[in-house]
Amino acid sequence: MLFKNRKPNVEEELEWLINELKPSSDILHKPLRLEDKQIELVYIKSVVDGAQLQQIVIKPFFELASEQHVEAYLKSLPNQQDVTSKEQVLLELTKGSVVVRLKDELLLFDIKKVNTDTVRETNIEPTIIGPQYALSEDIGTNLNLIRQRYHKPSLTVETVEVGKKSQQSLAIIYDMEYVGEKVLKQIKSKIESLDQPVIQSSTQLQRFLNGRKRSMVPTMMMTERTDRVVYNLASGKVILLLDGSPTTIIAPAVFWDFMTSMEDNYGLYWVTKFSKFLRYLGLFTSLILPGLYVAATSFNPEVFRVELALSIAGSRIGVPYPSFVEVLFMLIFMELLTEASIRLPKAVTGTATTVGGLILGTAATEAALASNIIIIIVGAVAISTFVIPINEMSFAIRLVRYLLLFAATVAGLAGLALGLIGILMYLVSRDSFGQPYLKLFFEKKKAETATRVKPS
Amino acid sequence: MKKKVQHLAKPFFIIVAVMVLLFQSGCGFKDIDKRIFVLSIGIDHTKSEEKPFRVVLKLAVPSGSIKQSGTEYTYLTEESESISTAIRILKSQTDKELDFGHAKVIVFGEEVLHHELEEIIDFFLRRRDIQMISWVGVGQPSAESVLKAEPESEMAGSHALFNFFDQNGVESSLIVTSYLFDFRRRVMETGIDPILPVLNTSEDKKRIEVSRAIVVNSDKKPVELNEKQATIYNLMGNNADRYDVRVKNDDLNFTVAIDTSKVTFDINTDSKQKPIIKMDIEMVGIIQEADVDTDSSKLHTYSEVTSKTVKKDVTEVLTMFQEEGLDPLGFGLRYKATRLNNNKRYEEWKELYPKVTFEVNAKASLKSTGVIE
Repeated sequence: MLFKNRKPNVEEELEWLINELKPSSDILHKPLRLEDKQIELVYIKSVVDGAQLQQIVIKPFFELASEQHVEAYLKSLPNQQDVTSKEQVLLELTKGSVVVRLKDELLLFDIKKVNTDTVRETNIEPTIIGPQYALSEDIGTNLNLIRQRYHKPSLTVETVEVGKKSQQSLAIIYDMEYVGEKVLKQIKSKIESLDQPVIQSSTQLQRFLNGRKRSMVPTMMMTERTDRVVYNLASGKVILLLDGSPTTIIAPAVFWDFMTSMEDNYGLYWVTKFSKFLRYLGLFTSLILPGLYVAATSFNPEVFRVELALSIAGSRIGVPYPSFVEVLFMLIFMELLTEASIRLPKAVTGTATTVGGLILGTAATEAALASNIIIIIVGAVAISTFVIPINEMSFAIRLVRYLLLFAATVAGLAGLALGLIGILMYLVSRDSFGQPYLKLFFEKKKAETATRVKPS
Repeated sequence: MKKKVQHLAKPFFIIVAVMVLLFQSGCGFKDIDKRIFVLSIGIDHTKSEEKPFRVVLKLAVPSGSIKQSGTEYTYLTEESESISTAIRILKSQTDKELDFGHAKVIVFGEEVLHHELEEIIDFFLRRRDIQMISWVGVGQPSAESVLKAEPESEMAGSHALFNFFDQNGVESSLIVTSYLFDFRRRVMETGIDPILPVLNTSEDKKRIEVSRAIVVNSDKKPVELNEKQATIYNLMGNNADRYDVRVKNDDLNFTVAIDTSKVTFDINTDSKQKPIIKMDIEMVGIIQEADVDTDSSKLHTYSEVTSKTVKKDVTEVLTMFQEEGLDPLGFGLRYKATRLNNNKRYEEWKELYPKVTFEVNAKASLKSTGVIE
């Protein structure tokens, strides 16, 4: 692959490279000469690890006896990269490689300086038991983390570049033995047809890969947990890893995946079953409770006990607006509070929750703007939304809730039931890379995975 | 530029329309604080021919802090020619929508029972907001006095009349319960007679007592069952598991508390002249009260004595039903149901019923004497 056959071009190539990068002040072109030994280095200072460069290239150059020795030494280095074209060399330079001109050859070495390779603690999906470290923001480190957890020769890592302008590397990781071929093909072709100038986060990538312009529920799963990545690799899914993003995306993903916490695999059987039950309970409460309140207070007060009807009626004394305005008012404030605590610096979050939750809640009931019951409901809804383990799904549920509230406002309990059926229909109609979104798994996990094994 | 504005107009219009529509509430939409809940309905009979029905509604007035002030009740009363006209007039007397969704007790005055029952319950069956699982009862001295009674044990927000009948509150073997749907079935169907609990109030309206029952028969006068008969009816109808048997013998006086019981009956008409109703009663219980020292080795003897007593008591009640021509247990219905239809089964039964002999087979087994020795 070296430029052996194009000897006269080397000078030109080097010239071209330097010209391409010229206006930048951090481009360095450094000829080294000692006695009859001579090499030239071209690199971008800000992305190259200077100390390492000094250690593995510059110092040996001056120590080695002859040019033959230097050539043999350089060609034996493990971080040497293949050179295919001058454009590729240019791209690699921007990523932190060093071009070494040795006689009539251009050699490329990967001496990156990465400041984002610290592995962070799990932040988005924390668990009590199980691995506590998530991923870093550097693709190399991340690949290392995944490979270290999944030792299988059939684990395949393909790297492509996405983003017309930013040219980020994207790793497509899968287990050759179990991966669904159709899914893999579909994902690859979708990535190829991507037409975005800059892609910065894996969630953004997910939106572009989704295929639909407007979508309500996520069809790919975002995760920062390496154990979840490995778990899904082993069941034949495809993992996408974008450089610079501390999260991976898993495809395909069905609805139930979003309700699973990795802890479900680690805990005791009945304990995890119980927490799973709690999660689904939370899902339903956060979905239907606001709608149910409106339906029960304004359309069908006979559904619940007379004591409840009387106490709701009592607590609504003096509330000026109809029930759905009351619910909407409190829900919107709750959402604002959630939104605010995400955006605010950590030091101020406490104030926001105190002011919002405590003061607003109490004052709203004192001022008879909202009934006591609605404060309980909004509180219950807020808490149960957070029970859903994958963030994206809980955001989606937050939205769906309003649709149900609207349905209940229009037609009471019947509307609520119809709305639920509608949401069910929507979920059923979706698919994630050919996998039905609301697929029910009757078979054991082993059987489900085994169907994907390739004949080879 | 102009085009751009037009382009924006459509979504803008839609958003405004949705916002406006959202703040309009439809006709089905009525907030809970704009409704007033009817908890029980009483129907009394007036002496006048023109306005025979006197309708009383017991309404719950919610208050801001139920725990402190409790629920207050208010009453609406109107006399009219029919129940629906009375309610229409009553609607004009409240500022809120009358909501019958929680009207779970319907009390008839005794006089009303002499009228055509189909006619009276028709109103309750047709109204969709009165639930078919409402309880029906008879008020003494009048439905109005029962509704207006506020027992001292009645707590905030919980209606005493409901607690009598649902099994969440008191569970008593004396209380006969009758749901509206069941009452209707019994009224319409031949071969089974409607039975209603009697709600009795004291003079000062501080006490309600539900210990008796009335069996209504469309052909004859309603017959009242006393406490003992009501309990035995409950036992035979499998309505109550609990039952107290008072055993009075020459040398043995004790009371048995039965906690599980099962009653089945079988109609045998092999001989048309001597039809037999065989009733099997199985019960399990313990001795609850005795005036002699009980001996656990003699449990078998006690059981036998108890069985005998139960047999005697049950036969007495059954014979009373037969003599009065009453059939609250549905013997006639069972007869019709277990034989091929020839369109005159009920007539046959009416002939057979007075000739029936009862064979009661009681088997009580006492588990313990109730004391640790």
